[in-house]
Amino acid sequence: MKDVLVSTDGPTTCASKMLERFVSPYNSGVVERLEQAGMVTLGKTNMDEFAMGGSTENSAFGVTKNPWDVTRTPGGSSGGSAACLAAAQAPLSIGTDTGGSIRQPAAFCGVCGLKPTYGRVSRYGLVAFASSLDQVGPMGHTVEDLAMLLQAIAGHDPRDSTSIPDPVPDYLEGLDAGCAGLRIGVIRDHLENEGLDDEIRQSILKTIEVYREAGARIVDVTLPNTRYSIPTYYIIAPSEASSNLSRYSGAHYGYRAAPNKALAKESSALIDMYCAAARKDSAMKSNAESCSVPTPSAPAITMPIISRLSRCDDSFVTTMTRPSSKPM
Amino acid sequence: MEIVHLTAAQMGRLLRAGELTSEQISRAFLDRIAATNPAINAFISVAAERAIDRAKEFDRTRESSSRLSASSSSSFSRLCAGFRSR
Repeated sequence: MKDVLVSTDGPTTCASKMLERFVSPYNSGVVERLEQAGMVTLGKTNMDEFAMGGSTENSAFGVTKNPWDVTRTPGGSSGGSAACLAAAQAPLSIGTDTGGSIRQPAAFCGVCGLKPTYGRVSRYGLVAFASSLDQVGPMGHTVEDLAMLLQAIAGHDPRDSTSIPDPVPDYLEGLDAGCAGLRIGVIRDHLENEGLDDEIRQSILKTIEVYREAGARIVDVTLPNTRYSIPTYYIIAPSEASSNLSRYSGAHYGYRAAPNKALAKESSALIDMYCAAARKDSAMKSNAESCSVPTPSAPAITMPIISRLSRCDDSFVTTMTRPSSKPM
Repeated sequence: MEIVHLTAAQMGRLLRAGELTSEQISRAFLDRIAATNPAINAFISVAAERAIDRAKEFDRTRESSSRLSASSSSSFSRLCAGFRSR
């Protein structure tokens, strides 16, 4: 269980010093559903602090290493949830995904991960990062395992105002249905992008061929607005994070970092911009015929840990990491 | 195959067939965590005792419910029967 979903059986830290000793008085919706499904939770997995990051190096409890190559990161922010699968420490895990935090570490660790449709899985008891993007999702070794885990955690929860009241489909039903009739949309622009590692490009092209041979119909699609996605994400996510995390004032949660005045001014402007945008009705509906679109989960393979750590000063490394030989 | 290398679906089937228990599965993974976590630090905290207690509880529930009835029709129930407490 990613340590961003509250549970009563121990601390929920969000990989932050601020919540080092925080024990929730209630269980999150996902924890409750897993208990009802008869699943045993082994522990809480490491992550980037408050799920903000893509390498699991930004944790108050030390970096997580990629089990395939311990000099590299497992990705993030659900890096612990991905690494524990790759190291056979758990058969299934729960991650959360705001801007790739399930999909990218799953790709980096060679496991399966899925960001479900927004609202499909209860966020009751999820410590929020960016509320209009956050979603809880399953991670595992096979698509069958993901389907099973998603079946266990999906469903309406009236305690989460963004939860979808629609019935949950049987995710296992279509597993053996094959690919005949499936439409697969290929975004040529993405595959031709210079920033994409050639090995990954070739893997995607090979995968598309596997689907074509299995009877899927391959069509070209364009998503012309995707070039705005990263700038948009970096307005929405930090603004919502600022709003959500301002509750960790130090008064209730004990630890507060020294404020940075220049940053405070900039973040206040961002919050104003976000509030103005949120007031407009931003709900969008698409009438397009649906199809599956294979895209890279990450443009390149995982990066070495050392290149990131070398950017931190020594005090960060000595005060924020814990000796890895101690049992956690 | 070693327990820790089975997929969850395989575990579910073995649990349902009575060839594995939740306790055996939980202990196998807890041992694996103890052996490998110092090297990769994937877990921040491990609730070993509670996990074993819950596993034993699920095993007891499964045992008593399988004595009462073994049938369930949906594909999810078939796959997950091993994991379900009710």
